[in-house]
Amino acid sequence: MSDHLTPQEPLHQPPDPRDLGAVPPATPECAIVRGRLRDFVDGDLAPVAHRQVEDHVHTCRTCAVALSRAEHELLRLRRAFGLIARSEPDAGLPAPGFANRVVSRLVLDETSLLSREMLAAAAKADEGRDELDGDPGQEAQGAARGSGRGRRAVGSWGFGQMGPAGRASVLRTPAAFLMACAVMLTLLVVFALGASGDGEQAPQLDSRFVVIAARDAYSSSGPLNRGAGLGAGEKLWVGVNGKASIDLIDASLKSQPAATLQVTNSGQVRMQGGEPLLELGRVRVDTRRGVGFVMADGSRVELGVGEYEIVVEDLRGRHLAGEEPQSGELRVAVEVLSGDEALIVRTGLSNTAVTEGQQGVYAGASRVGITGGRSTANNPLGGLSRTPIDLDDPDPATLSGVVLEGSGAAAIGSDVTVTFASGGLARSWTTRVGSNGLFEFVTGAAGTTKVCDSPFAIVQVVPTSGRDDLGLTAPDVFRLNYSQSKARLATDAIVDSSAGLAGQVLDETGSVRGGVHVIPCITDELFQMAWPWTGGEVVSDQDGRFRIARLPGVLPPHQHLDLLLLHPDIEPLVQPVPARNSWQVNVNETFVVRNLQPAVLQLTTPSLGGGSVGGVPIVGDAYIYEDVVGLPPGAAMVRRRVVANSAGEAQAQVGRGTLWLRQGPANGVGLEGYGQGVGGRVYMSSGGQSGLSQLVLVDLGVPRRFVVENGSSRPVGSVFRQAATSMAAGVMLASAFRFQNYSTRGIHEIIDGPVLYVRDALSARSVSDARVFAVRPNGPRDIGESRFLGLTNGSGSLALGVIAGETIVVVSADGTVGFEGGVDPSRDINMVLRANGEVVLDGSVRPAGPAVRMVSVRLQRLDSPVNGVRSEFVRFASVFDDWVLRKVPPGRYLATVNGQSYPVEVPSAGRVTLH
Amino acid sequence: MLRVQAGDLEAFAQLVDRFQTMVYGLALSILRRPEDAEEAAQDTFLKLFRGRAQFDGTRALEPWLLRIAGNACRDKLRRRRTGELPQTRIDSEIAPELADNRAVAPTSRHHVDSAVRSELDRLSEKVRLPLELKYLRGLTNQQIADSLGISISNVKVQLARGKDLLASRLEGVREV
Repeated sequence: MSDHLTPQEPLHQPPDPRDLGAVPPATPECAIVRGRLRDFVDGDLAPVAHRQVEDHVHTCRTCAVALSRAEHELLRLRRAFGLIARSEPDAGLPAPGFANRVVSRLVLDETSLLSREMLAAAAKADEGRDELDGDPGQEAQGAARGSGRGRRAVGSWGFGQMGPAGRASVLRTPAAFLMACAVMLTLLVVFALGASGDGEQAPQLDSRFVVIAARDAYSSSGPLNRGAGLGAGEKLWVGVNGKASIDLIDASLKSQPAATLQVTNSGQVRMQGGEPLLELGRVRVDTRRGVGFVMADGSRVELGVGEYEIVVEDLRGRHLAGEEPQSGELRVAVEVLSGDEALIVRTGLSNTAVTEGQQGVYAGASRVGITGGRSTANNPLGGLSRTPIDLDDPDPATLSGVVLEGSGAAAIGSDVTVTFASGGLARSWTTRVGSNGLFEFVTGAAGTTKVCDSPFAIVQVVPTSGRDDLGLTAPDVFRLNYSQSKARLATDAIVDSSAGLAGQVLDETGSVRGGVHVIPCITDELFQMAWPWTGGEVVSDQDGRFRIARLPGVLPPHQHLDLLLLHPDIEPLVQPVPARNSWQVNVNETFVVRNLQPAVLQLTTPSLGGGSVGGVPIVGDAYIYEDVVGLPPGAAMVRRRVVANSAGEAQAQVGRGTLWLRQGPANGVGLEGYGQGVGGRVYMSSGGQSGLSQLVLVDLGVPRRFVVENGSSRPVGSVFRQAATSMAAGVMLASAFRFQNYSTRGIHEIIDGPVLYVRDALSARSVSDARVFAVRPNGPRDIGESRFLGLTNGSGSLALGVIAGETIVVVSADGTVGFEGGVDPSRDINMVLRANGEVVLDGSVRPAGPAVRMVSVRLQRLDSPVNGVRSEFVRFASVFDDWVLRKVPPGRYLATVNGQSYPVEVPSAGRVTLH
Repeated sequence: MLRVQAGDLEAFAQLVDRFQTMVYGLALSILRRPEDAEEAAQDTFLKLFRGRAQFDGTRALEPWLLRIAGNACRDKLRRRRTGELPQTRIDSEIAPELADNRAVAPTSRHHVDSAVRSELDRLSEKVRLPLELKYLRGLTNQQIADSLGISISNVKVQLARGKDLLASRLEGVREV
């Protein structure tokens, strides 16, 4: 077989030493084949060599084993790279608009070439004015080059071959020759003027705009397209939903562009006197060097290096009638998003500096007022936005913050888990709070990109085990302030006081139940996720009693605390309890659990085609999964193994949750898929090799009887949230929380562009610090997976990176919520947050008896505002607050109290009584 | 390419659109910084446009483009200032934390992903690059050879070494 070797296919790979150790190649042919196995599985072998390997492994068992090892190795490798690809899904893609930037740079480089040539010509003229009388043809040639390029670069897209031959040929056409003569004359005049003046003056370049991208944008000559240029006096305006990205090319000889402008909101910009004049609209400016803007009222805004947003509004709306806004009739807001300060210069008034995170605003003749003061969260998703990190910082990069108790004392010994972005990857770090309340850790050595570079971090604090009077915090977002490469939480993290909870577990007969696992769980009501804190788990003693501590004292809006009571022999109990620093705290509770009920399960393979195909009985071991009633769908499942007889019948003890049968090969990759973990197994996604079939109740007798639903089995991921799963008392718990996904490089389909503006309906004020999420309905049970986008800035806005069709969900700091479904990435979003309402429990729906002083109410939203969002809220009402449920987002609900359900419509900023 | 050779910028933009993922991915793998990768990728296409007269239209464009891209990246690396610490030190610092914190950290999925990335980053450039270009960027052995300026045999050798090293370091991530 060795004669099949060709020079193109060298025996390049040493055999795997482990293979050699196990079963060395028996023949020279085996050795050759072993060396080719990796290329074989990679599909990199030439057809002849490929066939050779195929033939050999069919006859040689040891090489067949080696081949399966190579295939396994490739599978693992692809999985490993698949993990990387999932964690940095668009890291291999340039930021959107790459082709535009390349072409723009090409145009600009050609323009700067023109500048160099003109300068060279000027210098030549300046060195010896005698040369003005020299070879006119040579000058004309240089001038013609410059002129021709300048016109093309600014005014149009196309230009032909620009090689030396091409340039020379320009002069061969009469029109070009005439043009060259005209330009030459112009240059002669310029040079002559220079000679008559100070003799040092270089030819002046004109400031101008070059359009990078445009939509619904126009100049006086019509719609604008990329590559178009606007020179002195020319005006650009965009429609209400239009947008134009334009480079500002200034008159300097420095590298261009000086700045990039994004003009939106009916913006109007013109080039006047060598500077951009901003007449109206919203302009986001990313500068490379100091740039000045003129306002239509004569004031000026001087920008340094950074990112800025300037909003100009016409107070009298004259522009609507086609009139120019007059001095004293503008409202101008200048916000420094990041970078150097901006200076607002007004005639007759002192100058006002606006620093990073601030907004300077004036209206008419008023003085400039400074608002904000908070740093602005940039969109964390992709793009090439300027990083705030100084990579030249000689010290290691750190992330630090302060953790205090509610009393103001340092929360010494608490564990802080901080998740942040670094170089496009999310990273987590856990450290301990020191005696001064400070925590700090090194995120990266100096000069590397492994430093924290996100505008915010997700922080969770767990108090030290010696402090049962403190409660853990839910993962929440904190802004970061930067000093060079050192990041610090902008606000202190607070651990609130927390009353412990003592309880006793009884079953339906009143018997005590020991050995019951009690696990605290933070449930997200908006996004239907659960975050079980297995670290806080306790177990009931032989008297059924337990005491649990360090539960959350306070929770962010629309999250509540559940206690999960789990035991293999009882039905899981999910009991909502109030956050623990509330005066509503219940200090000694009885928890009644239900015993499992007998059932007969008829287990079959999926029955396709309405039952005509499949439906073969499953014999032997099988896995049954059961939903945990009370937790968000897909958040937890009880796992039980059953044994089916020859007819496919299995006896089981089950609860009231929906039952599922795991289909697929016994050893296939299913719910227990792939991964690793500490303190519990962490599972990765299944890869879809097996699925789940729902078991349908067909007989209500005792025992109840279930059969497999018709139709093919469902992918596991469509039933159960699989990431970060742990096991407790036979229950699989999927851990998720609302800030879990904030991929710093985003997803392939993400489009940067739309800006979200959030206002409050009652006050009409902009809402700052609102949490902004994007939701796609691709989670289990059609519940959306949320992606955290950032916080709104001081003017209530945030630039978004979204996927078409996503839903934007905004949660303000006080719990008002806004939804915008079916997002169009090409349009900005104006969202108005409607105030929450209240529900009063009428005496007829309250639990009877004077001993009952508090009740929990579950509010299931019926009018799902947008696709993928199925919110369900839990509120507590008590005699102490007149049985009022507070902070309920307006909408239609099904309210469940004490097992009874009532429809109710909650008004905005109003109150409704539940009868 | 013929239209590009004639100076048609629309055709050039289409060409950039078509090859940007390959070129940018290559640049990102070599340079590791999105900003540098963007610049090198832009340089690549500008060099292609300016040198379009030298392109032999009877030959495939891709190897030529990859060679330009590889050269642009190497130029960029040479120009990059000295004194930067290798990233492997950072990753080796972080990796133990990832394992230790997994029980309490709320983002276990991120941990696993980061751990794989860290192990890849710990490989030498010579070994890491072919591996990353092949299995993350999807380049063929020939494309890798063109872009890195090495022989196809050398590519295969480095791939084999990389697989052995990565496999041994990812022992912790196992199927259950």
